[in-house]
Amino acid sequence: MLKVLIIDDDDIVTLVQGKLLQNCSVTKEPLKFKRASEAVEYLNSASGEHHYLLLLDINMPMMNGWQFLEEIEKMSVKNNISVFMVTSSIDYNDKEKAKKYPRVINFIEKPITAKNCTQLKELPILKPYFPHPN
Amino acid sequence: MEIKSNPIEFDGREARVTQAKDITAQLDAEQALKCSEKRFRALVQDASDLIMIMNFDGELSYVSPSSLQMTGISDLDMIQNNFFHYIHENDVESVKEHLLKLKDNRRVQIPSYRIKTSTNKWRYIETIITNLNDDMSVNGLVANSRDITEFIKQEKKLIHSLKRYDIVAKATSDTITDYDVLNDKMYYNEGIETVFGYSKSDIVNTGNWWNSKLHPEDMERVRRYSKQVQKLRSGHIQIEYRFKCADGSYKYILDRSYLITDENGSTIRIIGAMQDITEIQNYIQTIEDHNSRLKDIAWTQSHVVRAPLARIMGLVDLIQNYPNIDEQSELLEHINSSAKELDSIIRNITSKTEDVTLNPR
Repeated sequence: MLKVLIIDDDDIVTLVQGKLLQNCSVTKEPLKFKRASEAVEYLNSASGEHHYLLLLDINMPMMNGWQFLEEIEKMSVKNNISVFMVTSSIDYNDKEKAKKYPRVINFIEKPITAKNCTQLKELPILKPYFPHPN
Repeated sequence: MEIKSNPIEFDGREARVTQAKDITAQLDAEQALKCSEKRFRALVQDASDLIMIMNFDGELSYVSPSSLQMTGISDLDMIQNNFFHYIHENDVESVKEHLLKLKDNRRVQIPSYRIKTSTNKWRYIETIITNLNDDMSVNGLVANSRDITEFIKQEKKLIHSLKRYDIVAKATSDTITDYDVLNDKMYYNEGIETVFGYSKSDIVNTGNWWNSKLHPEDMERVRRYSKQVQKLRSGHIQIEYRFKCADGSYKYILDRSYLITDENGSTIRIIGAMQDITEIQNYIQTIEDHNSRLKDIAWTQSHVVRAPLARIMGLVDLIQNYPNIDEQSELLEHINSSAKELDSIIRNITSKTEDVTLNPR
């Protein structure tokens, strides 16, 4: 089963992304984390049976997106994790930096739109979790 | 022979006395005198030097015809006036003083002074004057004068140009260097003292001394560059480096040098100007610091600014794509609050940018 985690310190962002994911039928129950450390905790005790899609913000207090990516590599479920980097900045350097992390499969500038959700479902690694209606 | 013949009466008869005399020696002597006079004329009268004979009061007893050529005044006219009459008022005292020295010395040289021409212009002349009062045939002071106006003009030009060069060097605060490659001798103008603080006793006039004052981090680069320039024979050097001052601090230098080569193309002299660009360099540093701080601000602001904007865009996208979504009014309220946040951020940027301009580090 695909579990979707939204990691962002901005409440409105998590609200909007959550509603979008529900309406696009990406997930019924998006898991929202205001702190990256909370998401680390959750994943450390997460089951290896599931696949985890993370919408990860870069600029967050305490632990930012990059630090979070380092943490993932220590996790037992790291191979079950796919990350969408989501940032409000339009910084080319961030995009280049993101390529160095193996779990990152996409880099999106905010906001995430309905179109992003449609494309997301077509990605090879995620496609199995979205069976074609026909 | 010289023959003299006179009619006489001899014993009541007409007769003639004829005397034949050998005058070969006399003719030879006259011939020699003529020759010598000719030579004298050639030397004195037709020479370009002006020769005058006068007494201690400047009364002229002889003026050579070359006066016409030198001053435009003929010898016959010139002799009418006192010698001092022709001399520039600022020079006449010095000439008189020199003249008085002839009472104890046989020969005196009078350095350059001005005499007036027929057109009331001034020529510079230089005179060697000899006391020949003892010589009965002369009985006066013999003045031999040479026109040195052109020489003085050239000299003045040279002094002028040297002065100008010195002033330019001062005005630009450049230190001028002149390196004699073959003899390994380095010469500096006063800039080495005024700009870098080295006294004459500090300076060793060798290339090595100069090299030792380069900043260690710049040494290799300067060495490689000058090697390359000599190889390319391009003539010009322009390079920046740091140069050590007497107090141990370093100044930023823009060095512009010119290579002088011999016929084989090898460098024999390097003449250069070391310009102190420390102030400019510091200024650039300040501007660069400023720039990077502004860049920081711009970066941060683009993140901060884009956050509420991205939120608004996300909210709008959601409402547009799903018109029947629940809590529409709540979403609209979020749009409103995000817009307000965006507004206040933009106001903030303006005031922060002003802070930077007003409070440089």
